[in-house]
Amino acid sequence: MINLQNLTKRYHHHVAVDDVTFRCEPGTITGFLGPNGAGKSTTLRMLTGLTPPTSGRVTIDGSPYADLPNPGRLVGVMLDAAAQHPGRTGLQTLKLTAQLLNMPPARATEMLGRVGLEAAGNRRVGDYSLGMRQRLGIAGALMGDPAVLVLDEPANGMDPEGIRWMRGLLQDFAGRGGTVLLSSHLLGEVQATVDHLVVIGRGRIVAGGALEELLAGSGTVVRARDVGALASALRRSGYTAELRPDGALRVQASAEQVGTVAAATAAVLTELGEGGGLEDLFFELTGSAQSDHTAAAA
Amino acid sequence: MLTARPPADAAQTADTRPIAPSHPRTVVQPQRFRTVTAVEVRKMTSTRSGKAVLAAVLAIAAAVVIWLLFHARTVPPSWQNYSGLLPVVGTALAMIGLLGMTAEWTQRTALTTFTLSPRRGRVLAAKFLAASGLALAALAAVYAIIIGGIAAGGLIAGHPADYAGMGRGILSFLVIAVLQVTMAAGFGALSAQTAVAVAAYLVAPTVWAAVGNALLKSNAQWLDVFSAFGRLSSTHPLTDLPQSLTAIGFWIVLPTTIGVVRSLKREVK
Repeated sequence: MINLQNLTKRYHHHVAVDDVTFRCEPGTITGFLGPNGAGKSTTLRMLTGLTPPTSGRVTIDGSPYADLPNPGRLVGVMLDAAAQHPGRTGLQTLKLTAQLLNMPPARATEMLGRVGLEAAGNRRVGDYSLGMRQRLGIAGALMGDPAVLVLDEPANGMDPEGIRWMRGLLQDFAGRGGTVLLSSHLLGEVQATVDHLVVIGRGRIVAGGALEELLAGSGTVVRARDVGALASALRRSGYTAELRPDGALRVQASAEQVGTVAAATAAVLTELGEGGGLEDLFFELTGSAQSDHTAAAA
Repeated sequence: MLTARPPADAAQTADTRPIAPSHPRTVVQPQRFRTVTAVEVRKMTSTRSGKAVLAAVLAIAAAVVIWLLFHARTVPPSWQNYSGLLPVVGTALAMIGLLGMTAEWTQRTALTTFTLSPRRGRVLAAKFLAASGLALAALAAVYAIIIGGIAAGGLIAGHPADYAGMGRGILSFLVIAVLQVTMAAGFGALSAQTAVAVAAYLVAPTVWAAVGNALLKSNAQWLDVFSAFGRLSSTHPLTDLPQSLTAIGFWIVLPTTIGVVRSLKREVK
């Protein structure tokens, strides 16, 4: 289990991470989302002992990362797939990790196979594509038979098949009691993979919880032959309805509530569905966090 | 028409068995310093630059000795004549330590290294030890080449091989090699940029030797580290010992200390 408590990182006057608190439980995949520069990577670096927090603490199964006897045996970490020495082969890279983690050298070959790189094992990492480096990084993270995985942008540079493979791997891993924390900016991928979500904007947590609950809060999207009339009817019934640029209405109400209003006013609906999904939620949450800051600065 | 090409990230039919954390968890032994050092040795010898330095050193030694053998009649085969290549060897071997330090930052592998071993001080100590050990091993090979050369030269020239001064020479160059490796690794830890560190390590003391002599006259030898190496490896290693120690303090202890402190605190990106 990963437990971050009031984690804060301040650089001079700039607060990169501001009082971040959340937990990742065994058996779950937590997606860590936020725009560039929101504090995701700084948080993950504090989690893995690379950057000392200004205040607050983070523990993994009760211990700070740096106090673990051999951290890679509990926590598999991949913070940047590009950060591998181009002059070594994939197999050499993994064997070094195996030695450091006190795992048998044969485990390196086994892990290469697990990520589908056995044929590329003797090629230099410099000749790997980004997707192959991601696979190599994941093999390295899995080397020490960890119970926890921390991955920064693992789907970056992977082709659709690679992304699907990784989703299956992570869901299996969590399904068997593992804990996964991954950051990503590929929203569709996150929505398909994770079951919990933590959204960060400007260093602060702006939302967190089970994916379904968070998405349920994003309302209903509806299109009608006469959108204006429907919007007025909905507002008269006390719902917030907002016209989107694409001509659809977004309503803070369930599909059933919208349908009831439509039936009562004989409105002809052309489409009725769940809210805009993760993408709308993301921009709503992080956008407001950004403007809050702008307002405070002004 | 679409052609069926393998995906860019070369997914063979990957092993589809699920990867699960094992239960119950095994008790994990702490990472041992010995293991960290062994891994650093492997890291230094598994890259092309590391291999190139080692190969170049042995090739240079062999080439010089072979050249001397062709001139065995005019250059008598002696330790005195054949050990002249050792300062060059020492300077080149020191690159192993320097590259070992800078590669982590220029190749950004520090991210992985310090994630797997969060206690950075131990990693840095292991790097100094690994670089020194490798340099000493390479130096031993160079000694073997030199000694073999002297013996062969004796046979070719037909006069007895002269090993005078060999025992002390071997010892003092071992010390100097360790000092040079430490100095280069210190410069590597200091700047973390290979080019800057190499330039600083090779050029700065040389420039100082020239400029310092002009500015400070005989006082310049207090900060002339190459002269200090020369004295320490001479027949009278204790000559001007305070000057030698001051130069070593300025060019080796100081940069190494600052370099280690910077590497301990440097933000890993």
